[in-house]
Amino acid sequence: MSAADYALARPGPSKAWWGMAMFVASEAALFSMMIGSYFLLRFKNVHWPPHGIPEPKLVVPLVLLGVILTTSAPMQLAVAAGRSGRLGRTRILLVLALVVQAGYFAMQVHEYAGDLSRFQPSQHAYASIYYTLLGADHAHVAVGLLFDLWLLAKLARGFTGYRLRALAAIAFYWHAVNVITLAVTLTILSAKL
Amino acid sequence: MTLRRLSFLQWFGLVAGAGLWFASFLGGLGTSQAACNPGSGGWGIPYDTVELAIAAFAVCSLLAAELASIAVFRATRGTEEQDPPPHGRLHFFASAALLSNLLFLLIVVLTTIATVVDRTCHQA
Amino acid sequence: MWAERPGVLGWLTTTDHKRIGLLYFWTTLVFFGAGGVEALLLRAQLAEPNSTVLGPNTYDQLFSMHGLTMIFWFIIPMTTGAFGNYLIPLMIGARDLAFPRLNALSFWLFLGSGLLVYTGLFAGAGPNAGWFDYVPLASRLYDPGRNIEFYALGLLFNGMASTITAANFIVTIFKLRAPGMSFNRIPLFCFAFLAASFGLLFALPSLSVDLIFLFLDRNLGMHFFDPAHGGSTLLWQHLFWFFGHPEVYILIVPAFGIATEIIPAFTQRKMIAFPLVAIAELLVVFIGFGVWAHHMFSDGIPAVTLVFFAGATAMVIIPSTIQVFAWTSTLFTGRPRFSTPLLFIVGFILFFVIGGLTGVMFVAIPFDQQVTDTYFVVAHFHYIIFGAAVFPIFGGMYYWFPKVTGRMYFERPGQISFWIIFLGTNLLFFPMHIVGLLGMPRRVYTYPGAMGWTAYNLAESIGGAITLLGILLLFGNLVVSYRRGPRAPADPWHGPTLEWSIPSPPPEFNFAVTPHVSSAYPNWDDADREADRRRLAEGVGVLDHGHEQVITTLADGEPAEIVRMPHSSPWPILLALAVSGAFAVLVIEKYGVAAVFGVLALLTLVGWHWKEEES
Repeated sequence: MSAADYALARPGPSKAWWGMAMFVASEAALFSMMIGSYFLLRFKNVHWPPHGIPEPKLVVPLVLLGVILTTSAPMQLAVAAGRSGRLGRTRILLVLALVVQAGYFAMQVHEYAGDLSRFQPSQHAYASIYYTLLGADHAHVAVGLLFDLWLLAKLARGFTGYRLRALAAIAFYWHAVNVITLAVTLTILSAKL
Repeated sequence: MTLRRLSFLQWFGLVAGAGLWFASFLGGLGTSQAACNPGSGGWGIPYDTVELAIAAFAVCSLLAAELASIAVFRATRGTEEQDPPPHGRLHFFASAALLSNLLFLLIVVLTTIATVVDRTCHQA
Repeated sequence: MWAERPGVLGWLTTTDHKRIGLLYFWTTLVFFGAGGVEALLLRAQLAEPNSTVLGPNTYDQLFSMHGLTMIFWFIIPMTTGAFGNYLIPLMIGARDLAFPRLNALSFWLFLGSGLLVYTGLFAGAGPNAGWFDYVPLASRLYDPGRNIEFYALGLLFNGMASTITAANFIVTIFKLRAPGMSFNRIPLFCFAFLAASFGLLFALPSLSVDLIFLFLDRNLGMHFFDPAHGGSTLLWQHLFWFFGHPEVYILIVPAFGIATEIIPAFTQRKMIAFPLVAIAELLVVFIGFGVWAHHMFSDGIPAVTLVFFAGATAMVIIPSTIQVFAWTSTLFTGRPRFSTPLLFIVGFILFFVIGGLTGVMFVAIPFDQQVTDTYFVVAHFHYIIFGAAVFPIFGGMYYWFPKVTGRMYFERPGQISFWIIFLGTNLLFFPMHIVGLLGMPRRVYTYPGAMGWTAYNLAESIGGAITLLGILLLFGNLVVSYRRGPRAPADPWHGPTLEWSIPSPPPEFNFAVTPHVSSAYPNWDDADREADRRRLAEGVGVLDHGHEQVITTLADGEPAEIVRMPHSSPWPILLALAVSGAFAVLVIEKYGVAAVFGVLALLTLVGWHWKEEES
């Protein structure tokens, strides 16, 4: 490699991290627009939710929110373990995060299906935005699960610079998804105010 | 002033001003929509009061950002526009922020006056 | 150092930014032709009152496709995909963009989206509710066919391509600059593209949300835009224009970037007030995110909300004006050589000032409410889009022609083509101001003879024909020059930026040695270029152990690491095929098949990331 030709400064986040940051920025904008739409529709409707559609549950969503937010810890710890070269520890932390994230996702799918049995998106704009906003959030969690599985498959054969950069980028993705989930949950629950 | 301090002031001057204008813009127009729409009109939101509070915060922050930019500009006085980093770059960003903060200040002040003076919720 | 794979396979699997730029260039020209044909058909229909050249349904599809094509399949991909891709790495001293395979993907997705939407048109189901496609006209109730599905899916698909390009440009400009290129030494062209890229990144999601809501309303019975069930038709407009207004700045800011390179080259003078011009380019887009509801002044929204937008609209004029003053004072204090590229830039400045003045008039809400949906608006935006976006594109084609092709164009026909286009477009668009103030509405397929609009419309149609002749001469000149023009040297203009320091056309690896820069006009810094030649002779900074590139720090451009970049790859085109398949079957509501294509896309992504790059 040609590194000898230069006096290299500290590199900062990798190209992969920057690429993920761009993707996160775009998705954050996407959710901001959906949340803005939620409030525009809310401001227009005197009854929110409208008659015939139940208010959202309070306890289950908040508990689930708390659960998913905690997964930022094992993800970030996995990044630190990766940087210090501890493969076993990295893998365990990732599996731990994945199990909790997958359990969260399964619960959310169950809740979503339960909601669908009580009211449909085609009933009212409230339902349309409710299911679309939540569905988008859950889809991003699902993508995160796929990222985790891919990463674990890659790490089955040990560390490389590439895999460590991927780990940092995917952890960043999960932090972003958690922040977005926080915003989405609070938005949905605002209907109770 | 240390380089670290100058760098911080430079970024603050550039980003805080822009961010505060956009946040106050969204806050103000969101409050006006909340005050004037059928579903939320009944909440009794005092638009003028809220807008004045938002604007006051934004103006103070914009003035702080402008002062930060002035400080960096003066500390890097004598630097040419294409000079090497870090001073060239600091001077460049400070010059840019001097303009942008003034512009944002102008938008916030003019918009606040116009929206507060007008009868809230009357249709254009 | 390294070479491209030969033949068609080489083009299909290329990740080289120059080849991708050329692919974009030719493809967008085809779409420009299509959009132009659409425009000429519209002008043929409008040349006389009560005309029957086109029926109303055809007219609706043609004017919708004209707007969509020109914006999404000509200007954006021409400026970002062609000019941006080709030139940004060259101007910052890099060997490619940050993500070369993503770059290829964005081209194939762009091509797929164009094929999708034109399939709709040729099937008689082209988008037909205008480029901004307001509900309830675009709802299932009033537009029951597939037309709006082609619109929504075509644009969602196109948006993915532009988002990828924007992300790529931002990371490239942030991290791949040559050592010594601190932020204050980035060429103004790159500042313009940075601004446009941030604009695309943050604006496109709003359009995507809007289109998804529209698709769900139309196909799954949802009610986002249906007031009878708690929805809001204004929601469509807010989401659309939150995207749409930044989009129009995204259209012209790259053109500003082209102008800010051509002016120094043809006056041999650095741009006056460099930091102010740089921040003005960013500010136009940034403040432009706060003006969207000025497209909605006649909707009945309370004045207290609208004033926020009127205020920002009034202020967004200031950065544009700063740039106009910088350009004109640089011209007046330099020694201008009015070759073809500079002629197009002068024409651009004139058009932009006129279009900008009518834009200022729209800030006044009462005036805007009078002229909304009349031809006065059509005049304004064509002065801006044709004058301020297309003129610099034409000028840029001439300016960089020698660099890209290695040949000089013929100057005389170039200048004549400028004058014909300039006169033609003024005749085409100026009368629209008058006929708009006389009350002629937009988007009408014909008009009665007794309105007093006839003579103006006829003049506009004649102007269109003249413009066509000028454009044919322009392209004819470029084609003949390509075949028979004299060989061009590396630096025919003594241009300011790094692309002029390498051969014409550039080698695949761009720079044999990584340049070190000390200004935004590196090709004018002879000492630096001499130092580069010495380092090349010594073999320092040559970076030839594979496809290598220097990564530098964000603010100060200090070298931070060396990375290896991917070479040609089949994954981008394969992924684009899978995504295209998914979008195509969504038009006909085959959700299961779309899911299969989705799974194929995921598998392609796994393949893409199978081999790992080292650093």
